[in-house]
Amino acid sequence: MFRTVRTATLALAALLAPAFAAAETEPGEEWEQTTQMEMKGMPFAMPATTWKFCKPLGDFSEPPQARKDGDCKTTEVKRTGNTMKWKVVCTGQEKMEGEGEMTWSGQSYTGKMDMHMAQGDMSMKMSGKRLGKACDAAKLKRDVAALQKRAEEQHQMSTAMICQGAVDQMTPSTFTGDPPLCKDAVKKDEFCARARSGKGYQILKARQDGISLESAVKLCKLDVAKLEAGLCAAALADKDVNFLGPNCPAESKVLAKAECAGKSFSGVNAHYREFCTKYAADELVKEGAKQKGKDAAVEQGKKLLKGVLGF
Amino acid sequence: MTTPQRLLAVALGLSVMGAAPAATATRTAPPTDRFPSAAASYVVAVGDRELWARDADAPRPPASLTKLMTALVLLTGDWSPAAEVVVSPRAAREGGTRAGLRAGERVPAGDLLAAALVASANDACVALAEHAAGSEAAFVARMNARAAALGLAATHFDNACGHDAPAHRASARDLLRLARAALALPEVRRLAALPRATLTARGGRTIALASTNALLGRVAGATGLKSGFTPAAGKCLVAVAERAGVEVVLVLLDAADRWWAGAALLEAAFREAGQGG
Repeated sequence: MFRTVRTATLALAALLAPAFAAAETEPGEEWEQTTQMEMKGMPFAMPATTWKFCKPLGDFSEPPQARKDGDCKTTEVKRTGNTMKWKVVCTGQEKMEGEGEMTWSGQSYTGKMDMHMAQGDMSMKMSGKRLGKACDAAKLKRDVAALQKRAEEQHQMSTAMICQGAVDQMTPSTFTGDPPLCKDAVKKDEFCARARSGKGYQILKARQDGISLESAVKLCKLDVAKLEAGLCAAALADKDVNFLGPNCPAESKVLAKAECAGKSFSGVNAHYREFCTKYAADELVKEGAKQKGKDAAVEQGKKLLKGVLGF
Repeated sequence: MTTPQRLLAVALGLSVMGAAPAATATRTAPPTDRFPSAAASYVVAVGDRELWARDADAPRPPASLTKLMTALVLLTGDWSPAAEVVVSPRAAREGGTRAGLRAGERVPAGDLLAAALVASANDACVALAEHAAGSEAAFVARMNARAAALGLAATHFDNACGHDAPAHRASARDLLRLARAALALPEVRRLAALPRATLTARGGRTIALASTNALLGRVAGATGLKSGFTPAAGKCLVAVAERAGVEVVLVLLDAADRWWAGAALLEAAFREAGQGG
């Protein structure tokens, strides 16, 4: 919503800047405008804003938005005496269209614009008065351009952060959404390269939501069985106990035989201690599961005997 | 039912005992012996709930796990860690694990308690018992009185430090209750977590002592508590560990390998409680 209003305000600011031929400076005089914007359906109007601008010397010879600026075009400009009406259409990401009219005298003007967007309708009332101070009429154009440039830079920076975050946190949905939050092919490749690495793959697998790994498999066309085999072999060669323990039962057994079995608890190399403890716990839990099976079988047998023999 | 039919039914029942289990009813179950190879007698508890146990009420020699009661009686009696304790010749002659105290040496009570709990020093233990009650026998009477008060029905002490004796007995479950009572004392928790301690006698002689608990610093969250060994008791252990607010306490009596078993059981217990890795 904020983005919509911001874009609309930028577009309106650009549109309301007086039309003139491109020039580094242009003699002008200061005017002051007050605008009041209201979104249809909102219980309150946005606070009125007042701002000064520099208008080229002379009359309002063209509508404020007669200049074709960015994605907005004014059409159907009709002038009758000191009143002007026009239509405006903005394409691009924030589509909107509207109509405006203004009436001016030598010292002031009033006007309104009605804009229609997907999010709703917005109306704007404006009033301006001549202040008369000499100024550079080309400055607004430069300021608007700078503002637009800054907004675009911030958007790019924000997108870059989102893309990098997806690589760091291994969130494939950033690349697969509709539309994807990140469209950067380089970052997508980076994500897939990380998904093929032990660290990245482990993050995906550890998430345990089932969706992240599945999503990454589709996005990066991963052959999971082949990938795991390769990563486990590499982890065993590197003695990467953090990867081996949760992911590679066969390789863990090999490492446990080499580094844990037959050693006293305090004699295990510190690097392998946590791995060996967890491995010992895994073996203990397997023993426990077998014992649980035996216990349950014994209970079932007892019940059967009880029913048959009547005790 | 005819005799042949009954015999057939018995055979069927016995064969089912060796078959795969059917689904068990879901209800709060008493602790079961899931790990018979862990120790001759054991109990593992998460918070107030016993998860697994084997022969947990059978009286067995507790070895130096006894010193948990020694510490409990000392700390809840007329305790002053700065009080100067004179080591008697009898205490200095104590066998088994020792700090190496000399008869006549004067040592702060706090240092002696550290030696007894951290390094399982029997000479420090007897010195404290004699200082607190006038004699070891009088101190042991206090230990038995406290055992009765705690409801340790399978427990009786014959000496203050855990030497083998026919009448010196405790069960794994009693030791679990004793451990919880001892853990309620901040000083026990502090001492049990120390990897080492130093005893300083008047005159300046210092004795450096290392913890007998191999789990400290090697098992995530391990904070104590006490080891023990005698020929009759075998390898014994009371272990405590805490992860993310969940505490596991276990007791092993006569374990084949108390450190591997203790570490693995702690890990398994945390997994059961949803805190495992």
